[in-house]
Amino acid sequence: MIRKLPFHLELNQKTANLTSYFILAVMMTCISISFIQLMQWMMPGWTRVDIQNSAVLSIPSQWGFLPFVVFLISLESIFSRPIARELEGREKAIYHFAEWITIAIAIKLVLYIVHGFNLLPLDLARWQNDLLYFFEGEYFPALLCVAFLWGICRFSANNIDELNIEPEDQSWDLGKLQNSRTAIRGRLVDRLLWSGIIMVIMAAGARIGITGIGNGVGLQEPVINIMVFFFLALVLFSQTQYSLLYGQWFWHKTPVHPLMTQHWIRYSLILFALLAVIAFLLPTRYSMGLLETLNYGLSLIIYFGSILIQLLLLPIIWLLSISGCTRQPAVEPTPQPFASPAAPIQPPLAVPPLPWVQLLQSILFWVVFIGVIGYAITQFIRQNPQLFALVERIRIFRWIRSLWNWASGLLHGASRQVSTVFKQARIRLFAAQLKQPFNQSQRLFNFRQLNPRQQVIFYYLRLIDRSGEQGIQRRIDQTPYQYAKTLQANLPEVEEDIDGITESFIEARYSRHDINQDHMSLVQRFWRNITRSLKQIHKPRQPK
Amino acid sequence: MGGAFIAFLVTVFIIAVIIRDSYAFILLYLFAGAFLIGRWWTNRSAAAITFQRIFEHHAFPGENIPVRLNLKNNSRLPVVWLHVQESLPLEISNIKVLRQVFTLAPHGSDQLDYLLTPQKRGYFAIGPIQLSTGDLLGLVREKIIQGKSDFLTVYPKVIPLTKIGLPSHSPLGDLRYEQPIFEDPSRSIGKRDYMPGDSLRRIDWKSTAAVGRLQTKLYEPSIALETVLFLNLNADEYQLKFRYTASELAIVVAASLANWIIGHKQSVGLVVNGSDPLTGTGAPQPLPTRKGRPHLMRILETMARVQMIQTSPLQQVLHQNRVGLGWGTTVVAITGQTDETLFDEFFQLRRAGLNLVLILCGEVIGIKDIKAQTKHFKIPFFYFRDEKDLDLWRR
Repeated sequence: MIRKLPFHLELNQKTANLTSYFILAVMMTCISISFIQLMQWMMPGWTRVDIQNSAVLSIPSQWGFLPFVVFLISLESIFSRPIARELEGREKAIYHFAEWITIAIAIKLVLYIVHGFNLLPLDLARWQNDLLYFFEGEYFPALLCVAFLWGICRFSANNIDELNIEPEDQSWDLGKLQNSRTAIRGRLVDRLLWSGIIMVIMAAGARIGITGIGNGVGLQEPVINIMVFFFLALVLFSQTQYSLLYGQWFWHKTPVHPLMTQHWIRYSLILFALLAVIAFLLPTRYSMGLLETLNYGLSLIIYFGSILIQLLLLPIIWLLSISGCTRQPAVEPTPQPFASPAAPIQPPLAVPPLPWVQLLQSILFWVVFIGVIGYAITQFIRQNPQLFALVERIRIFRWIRSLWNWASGLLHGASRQVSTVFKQARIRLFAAQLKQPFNQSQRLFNFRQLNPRQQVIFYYLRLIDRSGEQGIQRRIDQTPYQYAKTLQANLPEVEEDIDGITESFIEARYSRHDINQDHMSLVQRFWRNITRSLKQIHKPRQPK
Repeated sequence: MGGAFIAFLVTVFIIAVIIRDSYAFILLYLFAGAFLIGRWWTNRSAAAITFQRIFEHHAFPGENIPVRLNLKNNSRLPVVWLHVQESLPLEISNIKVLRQVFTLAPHGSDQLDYLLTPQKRGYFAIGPIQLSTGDLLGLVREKIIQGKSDFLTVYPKVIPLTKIGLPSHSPLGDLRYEQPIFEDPSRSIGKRDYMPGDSLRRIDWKSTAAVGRLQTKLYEPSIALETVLFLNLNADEYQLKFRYTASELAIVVAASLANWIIGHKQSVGLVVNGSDPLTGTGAPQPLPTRKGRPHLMRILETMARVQMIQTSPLQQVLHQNRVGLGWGTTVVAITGQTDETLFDEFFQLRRAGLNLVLILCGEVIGIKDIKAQTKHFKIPFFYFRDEKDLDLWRR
C-alpha cells in the first residue's frame, strides 16, 4: 500500500482544491447578486425612527457591499475548516459562536462604512431602547443571506475535500469506495444545483414582480451572474468527475497519461465556453409562445385542483358546520367564485401576419425543441431505470401516485358507469322501438328512413298485425318458430315464404351482422305472397 | 448525478413557464446541451477509436515477445480520457490485467508497450481489450468497447536429437542402411572388377574403357524413412496424477522427433487426438507425411494448439488411420499407457507391413510387463519419465 501520495499528485490535488474553493466563492457571490436584485425590488428603502428627535428618516437601501462580503466570508468558511476540525464538543461550539459573532459585527461595521459612522452613536441609544433595532434595515436580510451562503460553501468545500485521493483508499473495497465518493459528489451537485434554482427564483422575482409584494413592478436587472454561476457549476462538476475517475484509477494503480489533467481542464473550458456561446445564440423568441401556453395550462391545472380540493372538503366543512365546531359567521359569506385563468395574451404583432418562412421557422423550432427534450428524457429513462424505483420510495411521490390512482380510478369508474347507463338505455330504447307497434302515420312517414334491419322487422310485425286481423292471432307465449307453424297450418300454399320471413326476422332481430338491401327485398316478396294468401282467407270462396 | 440534473432541468423548465423569461431558456439550453453534447461526444469518440496489436504471432517457450498496442483516434473530436484494459493469460505474462489511461488529441494516437514471456506451449488469446471512455460531467454512462483478441502460438519445446534408431523397410531412401538389401543407384560408392553374375546395367562403361577391363559400380545401401507420429492426448490414457506433465512430455518428444526426421530430409506425418481450438469440429486435422521445414512448422503449430481431453483411445485412432499408411511406414505411437487392445492393434499394424515404435511418457504403472510384452512382440520400445531421459537420443 502507498503510504504517501506521489509529489506531483499531491501538488495537482492541492491546486485543484484551491481552484475549486475559488470557484465556490465566486458562485456564492453570484447568488448574493441575485439576492441583492430581489432585495432592491422588495426593499428599495427603509425607515429609521430617530427616538431622540422623534423623527422618521427614509433611508435608501445600500446593497453594493454584499457581494464582497459574501466572497470574503465564503473564503473564511472554507479556510477556517481545518481549525474547526481540530476542535470537539464544547470548544467547537464556542469557536463557531465566536466566529458568527465576529461575522455579524463585521457585517454591521461594513454597513456603517456604507451608511456613515455618524449613525452609530444614535443607534447605540436606540439599541438600549429596543434591541430589535440592531437588526433593522439591510442588516437582517444580509445576515441571513451570508449565513445561508456560508453554510453552502462550507458543506460544499467539505465535499470537495472528501473527493480527494488518500493513500488509505487502497485498503478499502473499490465498490464501497466508489459508491461513497459518488454519493459525496451527488450531494455536492444537488446542493449547488438547488442553490442555483433558488438564485433563479430570486432573479425571477426581481424581474417579473410578485403580486402583492412591493410595488409589483419588476426590475430588469442583468442576469449575467446566473450565467456565470452555472458556467462555474459546470466547471466544478467536471472537476469533481475527474476526481472521481482519478480515485478509481489510483485504486487500480493505473498509470495515467501525464497530460491528462491539462487536457481535462482545457477540453472542459472549451466545451463549456462553446455551450455558453451556443446557449446565448440560440433563439428564445419562439419559446415565448410555448411558455404562454404552458402557463395557461398550469393555471388551468391549479384551477381544477383547487375546485377538487374544495369539493373534497365540502362534506367535512358541512359536517363541522352542523356540529357547530366551526365559527359561524354572522353573515354567511358569499362563496368567492373561482376566477378562471385568463387565456394567454398573445403579444401584439408589430409585423403583418407571419409569412410562410417564419411559419416554417417556427415549426422547425418546435420540432427540434420538443425532439431534443423528448430525446433527453427518453435517454434518461433508458439509462436510469433504478431512478423510478428510487422515486417510488419517496413518501410525497407515493402520495401523489396514490392520489393519481384514486382520481383516475374515480374517473374510470364514472366513465364506466356512464357508458353502462348509455348502453342499457340504448338497448332499452331499441327494444322499445321493436315492441312499439307501428302506427300508420309512422309507417308512412318513417319507412324510407328505416335501415334494412328495421325494415325486415317492420315487415314481420306487419305480418303479425295482418294475421291477427285475419283471425290468426299470435299468442304471447309463442316464439317466432311456433307462430310460423300456426301460420303454415292455415296458409300451406306459402309455407316456404313463412319460413323465409321468420328466419329473416330472427336474423335481423338477434344477429349483429349487417342486413343488406337485397335481403330486405326478399323479405318484401315473402310478405307480399303471405298477405296475398291472407286476403284469400278473408274472402268467401266462390264455388266455381 | 443524472437524477439531480434532470430534476434541475425540470425545475428550470417550470420556472421558465411561470416567469416566461428568456434567460431561463438559456439555462435550459446550457444544461440540456451539456447532456446532449456529452452523450454525442462520448458515442462519437468511442466509435472512432481503433487499436492494433503489433507482435510476433509465433514463438518458442522462453522467448520474449514485445507487444505494441497502437491506439488511434480517427475523429476530429478529442478523446478526453480513455481507459485501456488488456487481459493477458498468466502463462505468457506476469500481469493478468494491464491498465492504462490515455488522452487522445483529435486524430491523435498513442501506444502501450509491454512484454510477453511465454513459458509453455499453447495457443493464447491476447485480450480481449476493453476500452472505456465517458463525458466530462459524468452525466452519461461510461461507454465500454470490447475489442477483439489476437492470438499467440507458442510452439512446444524442441529438443535437438542426434541418434535415433527408427526401423524402416522402405527402400531407396536418403538414410544409409547397414544391410545391403536396398542399394541406391544414385549413391555410388566405388567400382570393382566385374564378376560373373553382375547385372550388365551395373557396368561402368567409361571406367571399363579407361582401365581396359570390365568394371562394375558399387552402390550404397539406403532406406527411406517415412514416419507417422501418433500422439495420444486422450486424458484417460494417462495417470491422473501425472496427466499434465506426462502429456506435455509426450508433445515434447513428438515435436523433437518430427524435428529430427525433417532435419534428415525424411517425411513425417502427425495424427493426434485431443482438441484443437482452430478446427471447427474440435478434433485436430491429421497431417499427412511430407518433407521440409514448412511442414515441420505446421506440425509444431498443431502441437502448440492441441489440448488434452477425454476422447477416443489411441487404439481406435490407429485403427481408423491404418488404411492410409503406405507399406513400410514407421508408426511411432506416443502415449502414457498401454493395454491389451493396443497390443492387438500393433499386431494388426505389423501384419499390414508397418514398422512400430512405442514410446511411453510420464509415470507408467506396470512398466516391466509392458517392456516384456514389447520384447515378446519385437516392438522397439522407449520409455521417458522426464525430459532428461531424452538424453538417450542425444548421445
